[in-house]
Amino acid sequence: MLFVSSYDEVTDRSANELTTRTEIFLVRYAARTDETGNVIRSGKSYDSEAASFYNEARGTVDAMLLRSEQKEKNEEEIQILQDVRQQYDRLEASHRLGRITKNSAAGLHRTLRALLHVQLVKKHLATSKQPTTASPPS
Amino acid sequence: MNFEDTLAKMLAAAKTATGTHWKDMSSYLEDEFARAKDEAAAIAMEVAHRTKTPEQAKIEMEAIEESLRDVRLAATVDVKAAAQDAINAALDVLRAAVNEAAKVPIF
Repeated sequence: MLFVSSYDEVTDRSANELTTRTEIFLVRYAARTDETGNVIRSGKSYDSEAASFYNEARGTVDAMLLRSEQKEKNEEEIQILQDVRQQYDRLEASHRLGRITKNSAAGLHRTLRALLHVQLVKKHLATSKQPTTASPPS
Repeated sequence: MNFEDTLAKMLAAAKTATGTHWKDMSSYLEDEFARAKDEAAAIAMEVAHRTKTPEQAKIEMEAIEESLRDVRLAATVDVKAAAQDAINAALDVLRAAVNEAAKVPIF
């Protein structure tokens, strides 16, 4: 009996690669603040390179969506991917208005973690005991 | 063949199967709620110190709110996976009992 679509290694790998690329971008562009909210390390303003990153990230998500939409019982993953795309929109919108900090990406981080969590659950299901069926009588 | 005993074994198998999922989901939810609280507080402090504008903060808080919906979606997958594992574990027990009683594989 299946309630959750099967594990897909390509989606899992893509999600991890996207997360890594996002972290590399944030290290360069997001300012760091202390517990009082003061900047302790400045980031970078929105520029053409940042614009390229946001566009490429959305493109990656679109490609993942195309793949996820082909599978049945995958509604949650599809919705999370659509939300990941919107989270890049929001981060870019904030970045266009001014300096972003690590906390600016909190929502994006949580949505990416939700996507990774789903991959882990599916991987666990794939490696746990599979349902068996009776052998045909000989 | 004792089918009363089989029911107890089916329930035990199902309970074992759901246990891991429940622990994973519980720690996942606790961690995300704690982080969301800290992040919201940090964004408020950044606005107070004019590190970012209220307009930026509004967008970022909306992102946090939406991301908690994704936590719910991920937790839903956890629950479905737990149910899947539980039912399949119980079915395996029932299958073994039926086939043993029938002395031929019929299920």
